[in-house]
Amino acid sequence: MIPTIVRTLLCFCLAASAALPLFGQDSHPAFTDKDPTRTNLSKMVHLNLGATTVSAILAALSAQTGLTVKAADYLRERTLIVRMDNLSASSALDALNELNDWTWYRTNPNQILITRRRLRLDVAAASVPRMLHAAIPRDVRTFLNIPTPSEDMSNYVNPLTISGPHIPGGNQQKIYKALAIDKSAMLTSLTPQLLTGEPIPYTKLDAKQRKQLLGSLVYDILWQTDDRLLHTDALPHVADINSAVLALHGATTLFVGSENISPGIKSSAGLGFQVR
Amino acid sequence: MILFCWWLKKCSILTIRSLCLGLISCPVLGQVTVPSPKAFEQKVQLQAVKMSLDDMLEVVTKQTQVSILVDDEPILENTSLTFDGSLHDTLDKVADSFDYTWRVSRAGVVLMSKRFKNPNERPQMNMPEMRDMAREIVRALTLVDYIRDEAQANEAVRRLFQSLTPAQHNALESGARVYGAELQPEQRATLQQAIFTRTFLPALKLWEDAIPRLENLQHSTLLARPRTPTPPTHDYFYRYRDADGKLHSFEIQHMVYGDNDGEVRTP
Repeated sequence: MIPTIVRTLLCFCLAASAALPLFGQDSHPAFTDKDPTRTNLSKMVHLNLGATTVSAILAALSAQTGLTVKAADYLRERTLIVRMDNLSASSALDALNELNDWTWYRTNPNQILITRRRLRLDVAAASVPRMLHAAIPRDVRTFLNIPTPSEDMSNYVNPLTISGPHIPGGNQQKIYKALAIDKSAMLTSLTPQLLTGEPIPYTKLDAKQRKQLLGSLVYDILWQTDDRLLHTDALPHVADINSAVLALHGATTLFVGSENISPGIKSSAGLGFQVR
Repeated sequence: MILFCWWLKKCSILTIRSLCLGLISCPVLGQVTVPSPKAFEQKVQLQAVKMSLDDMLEVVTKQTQVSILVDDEPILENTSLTFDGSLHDTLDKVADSFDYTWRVSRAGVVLMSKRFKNPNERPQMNMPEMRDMAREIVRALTLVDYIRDEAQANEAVRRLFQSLTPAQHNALESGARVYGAELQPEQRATLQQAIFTRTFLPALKLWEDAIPRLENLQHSTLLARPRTPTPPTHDYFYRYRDADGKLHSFEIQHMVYGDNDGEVRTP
């Protein structure tokens, strides 16, 4: 027989968990009873917009609810296909967030702001790679096989178990291919104009060439970025100096790094400092 | 409250649990109407001839009343698809045709994301978002303090090596390892700074340089300069002026990615 007090507590917990959906996502501030935002967020919306931008979706959402829903300026140009009908405004916002790893806040009564989701992590070296991963839009992360950044640091992506950056079939090759294709397509389409020797301003490029130029710039930087930083957590010696292994290589180089010794496999990664 | 507590004592746990589950699924209180798994068993008829993803989804949503949200638009502009089956299987078919995956959001909206199986499919890149990404990456790479000069960091480690005890030197010379935990606190601090410098500084420099390149994209120009007269070859440059009017120019290497994976050549 369950004691009465335990039963009572259990009931309260269950009742509380049942009421949670009333308050939307747990990251959102609780609304007061007099706040009109809550009522407007529960309004049903009809968003059969087809292919459109975030700005257009939020304009429609605002018009239908009386809310002012805005996205951070860096998100407004993103395109989506929207076929959402007969759902609450908060459900539509939650769907946008879940699709893209964004979050939304009530900034003032009746005002909602959508931003990229920021990780809440300690200021520590171990957090750096995850913060970096979180800075990359979700679709770019999927394209580059970058792990989904989580605040749970116990879920560790070990850099000692991944392949090197230049191994065929690796992620770096994928970036390089995207870079080569974008650059090549842009320059090929521009060659006759470029060969006149006159500079071509960005404003004279068509939409496709602009995308290719942007892609070239971004993939070029991603290509040069250390593959481990992009795809794994920090090496143990970076996250915790106490775990660093120091060894002398060739009498002149001090190796500082991490070693992974498991049955049949020994791998290490680190840095070489010339000390003599 | 007294009545509620009395009722709690009288009710069985199972009854209360059922009531709570009922509350969760109540659309009025929860404000969320999540389609049941049965909703994905409803029949869909699709006869698409050269139809875009959006047009197909419009047909599907009209027949099923399920909401769908898709990231970006696919590189494949249209395709033909004839299908008669459950909503679940229809979504599988449509998603597969356009190189997408799908899942259901907490509120019951079908979310479709690109899976990038097609080698020509790309994530969307918008200038403001890429600029923000570069700024956020720089913020991440400066989360911890370190020396912004690789030569200084290397010199600090050289001095640290000289400051090791004779026993530690002997250990290293004999091929043994010394561990970070065995160092003095100030030695550990020096080594940590050097590790951070060597680990994060190269990427930081890259992404710091990326910010003005991306910020000045709209005012940039592309330029070709002759490299050799015969055969005629050219070097290509991306150029922009910064806020102080200083001209920055860097080469864009013209690369061709071969049909065979891994083959990259410069024309």
